[in-house]
Amino acid sequence: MSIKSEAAVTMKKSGITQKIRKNRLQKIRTLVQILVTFIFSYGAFVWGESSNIYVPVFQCSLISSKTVSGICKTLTKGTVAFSRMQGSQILYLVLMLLSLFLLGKIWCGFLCPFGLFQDVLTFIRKKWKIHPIIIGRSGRIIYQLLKWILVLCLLFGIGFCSLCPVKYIMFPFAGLFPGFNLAGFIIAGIVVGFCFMKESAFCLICPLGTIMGLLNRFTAVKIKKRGEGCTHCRACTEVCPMYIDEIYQVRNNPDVTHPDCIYCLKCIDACPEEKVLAVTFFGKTIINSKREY
Amino acid sequence: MGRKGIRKIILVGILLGSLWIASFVVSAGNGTSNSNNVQNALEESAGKTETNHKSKETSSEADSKEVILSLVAIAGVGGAVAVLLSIMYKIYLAKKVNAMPVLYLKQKETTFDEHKK
Repeated sequence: MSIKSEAAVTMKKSGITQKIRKNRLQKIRTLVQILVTFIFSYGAFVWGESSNIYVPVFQCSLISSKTVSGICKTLTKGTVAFSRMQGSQILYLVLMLLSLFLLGKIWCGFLCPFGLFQDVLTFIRKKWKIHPIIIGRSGRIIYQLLKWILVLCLLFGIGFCSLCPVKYIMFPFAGLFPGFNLAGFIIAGIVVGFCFMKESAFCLICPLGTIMGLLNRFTAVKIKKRGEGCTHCRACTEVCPMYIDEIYQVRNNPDVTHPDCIYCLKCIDACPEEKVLAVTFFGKTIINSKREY
Repeated sequence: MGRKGIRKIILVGILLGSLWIASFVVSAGNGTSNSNNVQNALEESAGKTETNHKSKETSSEADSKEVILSLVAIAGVGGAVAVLLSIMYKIYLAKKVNAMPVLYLKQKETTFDEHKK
């Protein structure tokens, strides 16, 4: 009998069950991302064209006359989108806004098609065993600044759509040509390069995520921490793609939800302690961190 | 979540809703610009669908070539950026690691070997 199986038997005898849940949440997340990308993006295009089903579209390349505008279009040309909407479309928009209050940036972690694209790039990088880059403190100030500049560009519609890297990257995946714009292609390439070398790099400067992040403090979904159980191993902050240090530093306040958090739940996957980190919905715990034996 | 939290959520919701309605009312006040905007949007969407149909009808090889070329261009630039980033990061790391005692020891070892020879 191998050492591993012997250990399993002794653990079973002592009543301890082995909990192998490493990356279990990540697998669920990827599955949801794939499903949502096809249903809410491509599915909306297909169903919206062939039948009277209108669903919110999260990819501007697939916005047609029969589907509800993407979130960014709604933000930049909100009134136009509103005046064009009728019946079920308005209902869907209200549902979308309501869900923002209820679920917050879960949109980023679970529903964003570009998030899936970034995760695929990270998966390829890991397979090729290329070491990622880590952005230092000075770099973090630069991207924080860039993030707010992009938010202003998006809200005031200053050249955002013509240079939006997501458009140039996602259009070809939908079989469409985004139009020739050298600057657009170069920016898209730079974003791809960064996303390849750094996990969820675009999320650091995503203007939509920043706007949604403002609601993160008020949403029903929260990340809670039980400070007394924390062993200060830094596992949560080490795996965080958004470099959120507060989740490790905060000891007294149980609410560690950060405006930048994209709810990728990697911190909860990584936490080796029982019920120290948890995701709550209206105060009720949904997912807990678990001790690995 | 306590009552205060729920109150906050409701308050923010009302605020955002009123902002949304206010922006709609303001744009409705500017009747011409709004109608122009709507027209533009409708034209835009019509144009989009037309172009979509055209592209579907023709669905030429040129289109697919353009799509593939754009993907290749983005991947090319992305690859170049990734290589540049990894080189830059390695240089940055090397500068940082130089001060570490491991390298210092290694240097000592080599000098010791050289000395032995």
